[in-house]
Amino acid sequence: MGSVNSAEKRFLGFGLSFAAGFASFAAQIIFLREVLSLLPANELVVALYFTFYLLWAGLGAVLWEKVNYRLLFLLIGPLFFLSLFSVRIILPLARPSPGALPSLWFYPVVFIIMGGFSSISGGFFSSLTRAFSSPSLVYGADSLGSFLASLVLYFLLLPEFHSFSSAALSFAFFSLLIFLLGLRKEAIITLLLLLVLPFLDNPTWGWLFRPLRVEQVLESPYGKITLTEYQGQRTLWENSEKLYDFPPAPSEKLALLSLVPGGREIALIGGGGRCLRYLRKIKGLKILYAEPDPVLAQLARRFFPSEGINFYRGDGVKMVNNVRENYDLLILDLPPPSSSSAMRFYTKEFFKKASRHFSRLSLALPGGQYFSDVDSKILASVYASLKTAYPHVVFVPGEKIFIMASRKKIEITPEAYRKFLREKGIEPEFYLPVQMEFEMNPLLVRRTEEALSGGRVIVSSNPITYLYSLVKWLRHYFPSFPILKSSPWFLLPLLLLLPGLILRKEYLMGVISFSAFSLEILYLLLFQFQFGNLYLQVSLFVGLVMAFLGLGSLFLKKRASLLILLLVSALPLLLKQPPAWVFYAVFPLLGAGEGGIFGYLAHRVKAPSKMFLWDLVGSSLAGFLLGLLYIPIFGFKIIFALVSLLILLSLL
Amino acid sequence: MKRRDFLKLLGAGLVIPSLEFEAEAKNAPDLSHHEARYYEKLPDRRVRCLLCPRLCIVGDKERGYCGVRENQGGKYVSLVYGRPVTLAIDPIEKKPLFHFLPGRKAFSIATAGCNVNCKFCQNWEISQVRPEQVRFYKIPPGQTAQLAYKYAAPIIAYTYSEPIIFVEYMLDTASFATRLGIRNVIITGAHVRPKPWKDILAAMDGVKIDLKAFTEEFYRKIVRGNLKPVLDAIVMAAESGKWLEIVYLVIPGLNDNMKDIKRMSRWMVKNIGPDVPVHFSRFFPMYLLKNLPSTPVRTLERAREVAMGEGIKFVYVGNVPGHPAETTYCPKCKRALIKRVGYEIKEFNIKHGKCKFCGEKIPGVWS
Repeated sequence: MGSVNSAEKRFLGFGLSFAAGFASFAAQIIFLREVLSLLPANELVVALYFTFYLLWAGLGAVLWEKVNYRLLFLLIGPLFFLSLFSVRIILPLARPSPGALPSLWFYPVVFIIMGGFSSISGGFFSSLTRAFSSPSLVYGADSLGSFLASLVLYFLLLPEFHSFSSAALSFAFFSLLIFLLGLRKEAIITLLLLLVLPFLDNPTWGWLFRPLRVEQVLESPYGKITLTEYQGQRTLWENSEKLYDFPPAPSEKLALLSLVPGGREIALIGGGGRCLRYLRKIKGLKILYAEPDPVLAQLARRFFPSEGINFYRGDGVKMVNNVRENYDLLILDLPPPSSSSAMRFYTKEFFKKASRHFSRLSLALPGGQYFSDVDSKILASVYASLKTAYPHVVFVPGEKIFIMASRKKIEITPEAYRKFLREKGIEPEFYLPVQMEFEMNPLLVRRTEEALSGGRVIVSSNPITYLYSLVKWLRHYFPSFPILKSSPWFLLPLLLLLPGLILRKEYLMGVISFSAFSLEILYLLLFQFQFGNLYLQVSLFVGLVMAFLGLGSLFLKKRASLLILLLVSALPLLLKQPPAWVFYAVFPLLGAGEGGIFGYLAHRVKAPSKMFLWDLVGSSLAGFLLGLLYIPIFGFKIIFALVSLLILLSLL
Repeated sequence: MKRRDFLKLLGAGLVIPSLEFEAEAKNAPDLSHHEARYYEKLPDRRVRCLLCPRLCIVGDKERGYCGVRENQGGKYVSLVYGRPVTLAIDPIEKKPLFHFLPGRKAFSIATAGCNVNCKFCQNWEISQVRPEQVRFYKIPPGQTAQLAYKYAAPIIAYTYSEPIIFVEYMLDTASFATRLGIRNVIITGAHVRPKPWKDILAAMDGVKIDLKAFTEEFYRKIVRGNLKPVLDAIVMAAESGKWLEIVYLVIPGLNDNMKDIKRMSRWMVKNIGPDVPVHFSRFFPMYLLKNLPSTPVRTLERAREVAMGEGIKFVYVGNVPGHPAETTYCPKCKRALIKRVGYEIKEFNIKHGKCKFCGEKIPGVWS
């Protein structure tokens, strides 16, 4: 392997790698956003996305190694364009009928389509390394380009523009970069193609909602908000999931029953504000509505205007953490604990914090006449978690089970409900007292009681309920899917890392990237559980990892890198709840540590492309295993300990 | 470690977890082995189920499409006999049956399983799973009837999943219930063959049939069944003299075409008469049809107008509590006969089966 022998060549190599990193990461961000807007945003989809994206990138490092890098620069734009467009086209075809969940084949097809452009990301590394003979330079510059992409997209483009427009603008910047570096033909072709994208966004998005008529599409930091109309009825959607119809009938039970014991000062989290429709009928209420999504907050103001409502612009966890005044009631109008994101609101820690300032807390969970094994586990877990924070918990069965936790003893009965409606002068639209009477029949009460008993408390460090919800979702496709039980056999896939620990060389990168990506996922989740799903901070953390990956690969030595990673993995085992500043320090350290190992190994292995493949195998394994299994089954502490062990073994 | 040893270890590791799941299946809970009705034996220990139009040919140790009837050495058994997964007390209006003992309670039972796969199934967690996946009670038919008696429910409703597939349990329970003076109603999709259906009708006092659409295409794509057997069953039910009501769940974009609803209404008037009540029910997203809005109320009202325009006398709007079309009106003098708000009866103006105001005979089971 010859060494880089001119500053010009080095500059070109750096510049092209930087541009490649920028385009690859921009494509990854946009495609992930697209996938999460089209498919349910649960842990399975996210895990599969990262698994396949990273695997394809790793394979691409080997497949495209011998290819001239110019071809890759020519291909990435068109392939990315085709990928985005084709997923939108294929989804309606994959639905057996309008509104149906896509057929199973849709998922592998999406992940194969993604392979087109994500393999090029890996191909860039090996092809540019071959051309410029400096893997650490290429890797470092690539990472810095990725960092810039994260900043540009998360902070500038996505909050303002549709995702297709953001893609077009970021690829326009990419085209400019490579044009200036001499790849003129490639730049022009990419630019022309990607500039068409914004014009395709709304029309193709509208196809997905047929036969509904799309009235308005708004872009929020969290995805797309769509307002549709069908035969005079409007519906609000968050990505492809329905938020509510007008009027939001199912929310009335939660809204009205929450106030039966009384109260004036209340807070509401979630639901896009649909409970406000019913709450504002009650005179004299002061409502604080927490909504991190500025678009949903704006729509709530528009659809449910009322003088008594104050808007808290921010995440609900953050609101509860920071509240200083005392309130009578906190209403959680949220999805069930079906993802790590939703689950933050059902932990023992959250309920305990809430109980300090909120005398009562109410929520509603899917119920019915029958509770499957999975439903029982979810319900029982939420109930058990509430009981750790509030001494009194009551429920009203039904299609939606209403649950209220209180510091003082309360009673919610049909008579009390009738009295409440009479005193407030309210005529319920949907949830009538007679319905409540039937819901409180002894058989259903008893069966609901059974379903609520014997649950495992949900703790932040061991979020088991999203695994139950995943099983429930999988049963839509595989009705016989079992509830997975905790078993050491789930650690078996880690055998794939054995070559790294025994043979070392390029395989070691698999162990390091597994460890580093695991740590990144764990810390991101930890942060969200403690402080909330703070879009800016989370985006910054992801960007910092990328930036310091590059810096680490250029400047850090092996031993220092491993020690840094060991420190990062051991920290949560020593600190019960890391303070905020720790997170701002951890992510750069993580990136630097991983980058340092990469830079060290890149100059010592015969085949850097093979090393890159193992790097991505390790990351994809982490993305898949942690998200789906390890976090809910084993909990954070065990995984931190496991990762510490892996890093320690790598040090020896 | 040598590479070969490593691979052996990996292979063993992959086998062992699968053994763990297999062990769970062998320890499956105590299902029933009650011999099924409506089947014929075939050579080589196979059987042909004769319960529903699928006519499953089932090999030894295999199950029919419904998942709850199994061939055990040439003997076809019901796995869910006496194994209800849910017991509830509902108002009869919830079924909905509006002309059958209004205001009374119905003791409602169901087992796991179903012989179709509606993508919008509200009870999919019991209907689309195997019986060993769900917790159930062990309550023989006699005890089931006694429970209904204990809870002072004058009606037993076989409902939620698909009662056709637990026909043996249903018929035996109905027999006990009748002796106790309890009426029996079946809430069904009626995807059933004539012979068993005849026996079921004989045992029932009331029937509510879900007519999911009026096109074979819908039944094929969305239900995985056939329309024709359901229509035949509706006609048989009407001819049996048992009380019959029809529910049509209106799903936006799938079966809300007014032309089809018009054709359906005409067919009903011609084949079962204008006196059979029809309910157009509001759909809420469920199971595999989650990405649809709920049915607009206006759509239900239009469907009602179309059906009444074709001559059907009693047409209701369902799942919209407080809607005026929940009320029963006299077809002659148009006065409100049974005013309902949700499940609550506010006014009852039928006397001896006739309109209190004009004396028009009102079809139904009123006492």
